[in-house]
Amino acid sequence: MSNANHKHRALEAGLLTCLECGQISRVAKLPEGSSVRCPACRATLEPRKANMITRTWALVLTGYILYIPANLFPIMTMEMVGNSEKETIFSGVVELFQSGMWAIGLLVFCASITVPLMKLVGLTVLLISVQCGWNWRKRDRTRLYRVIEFIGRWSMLDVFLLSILVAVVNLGGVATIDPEIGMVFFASVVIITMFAAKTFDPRLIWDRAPTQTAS
Amino acid sequence: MPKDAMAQKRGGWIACPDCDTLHQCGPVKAPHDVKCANCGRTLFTRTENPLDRPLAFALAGLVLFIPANLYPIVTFSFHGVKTDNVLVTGVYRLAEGGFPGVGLLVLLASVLFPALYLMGMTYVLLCSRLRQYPGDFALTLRMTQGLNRWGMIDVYLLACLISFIKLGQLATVLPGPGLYCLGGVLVCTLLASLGFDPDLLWRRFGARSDKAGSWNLLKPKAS
Repeated sequence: MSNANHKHRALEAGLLTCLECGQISRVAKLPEGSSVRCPACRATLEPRKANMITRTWALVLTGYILYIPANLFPIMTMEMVGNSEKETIFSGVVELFQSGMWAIGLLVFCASITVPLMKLVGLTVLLISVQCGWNWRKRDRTRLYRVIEFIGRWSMLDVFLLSILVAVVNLGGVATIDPEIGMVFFASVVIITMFAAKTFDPRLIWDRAPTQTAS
Repeated sequence: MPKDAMAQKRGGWIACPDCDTLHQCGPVKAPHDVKCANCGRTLFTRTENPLDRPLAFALAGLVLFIPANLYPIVTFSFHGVKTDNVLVTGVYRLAEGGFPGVGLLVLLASVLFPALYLMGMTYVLLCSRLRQYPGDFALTLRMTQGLNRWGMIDVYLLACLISFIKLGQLATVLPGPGLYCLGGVLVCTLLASLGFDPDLLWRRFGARSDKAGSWNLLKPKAS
């Protein structure tokens, strides 16, 4: 369906692509500080997402900083017939492992601890590679970006789990689960990394390809 | 529908959103995935019955959404005391416990965004089917495309499953009728979004219709 024998790139051909509706437009040279809107859907047209590297770096660094308290502070307090126990994200995983449910434990471990960290590390690698103009494994890096973008939502697992636990285990003095401050940090990490993935523009991975400049 | 065939034929050019490679795209036979030759991203998926099928599933999902919000999802009984929750109980308890932000996040991701996604889908599919394009059609279609990732009923259901396992050791936990309805909402949403083809809707709306070489020249506007 596509003519792959000679690859043209839209921006190099002087064309702007609307990321919302896919409309391709030719735009006269843009003066500084002006903007155009897509003629079809009225979304703002940009050659590349504006200030992408600065914005993504800011979100990624915030994510790293918040990742620490998210894992150190307890996310909930369990009160079971008199004895109260604070649980962090990691101790919740350990508890699942200890009670023999290693499959579920592994799932929660991946969704809550591995995925946010992998997203942050992955975006850091992508950002550095774009800034240094690496010409290396562009296809794989684009794929890495797509995985990061797709997988992020599953980190919300622990947030939803807490919302179910605090709603159901609410029996006054007998058994109660209350939310703790760690959950705020954790939820922030999930949301900030999702925004960071959305801000990143994978087209910059391809922008300095020497094979593609010939048109 | 000859007009649909026309809309598909006028395809013209398409640029990959992930790598900016230009492709020329002819008519596509459904069901077919069109992938970027350069980076492998799926550019669009042409499906059979691209308007009626997702519309039916979106409407079914909206109907199921009502009992999914009204009936309890998880029932918990501990030494004879019973509690249960609906979708928004957790939101309320999180806000009550001093974390309204987290509560709002749960409300958005598990109730509002999935509902808006289904409503948006129903609206744009109906508009496109009737060929009536009100002023907010483009905005609604953009919103619907964007909400795909932010409705998280699938993640919520997995969290329900884990809560059964976690609480199963302490007490008796039973699934409520709301859980089955929520499962139904998830299946309907998935099937609707599988058949949902924003590319086709944009084409029918009039976007992407330029032939090669005759791009419209946009005059920059100072902002």
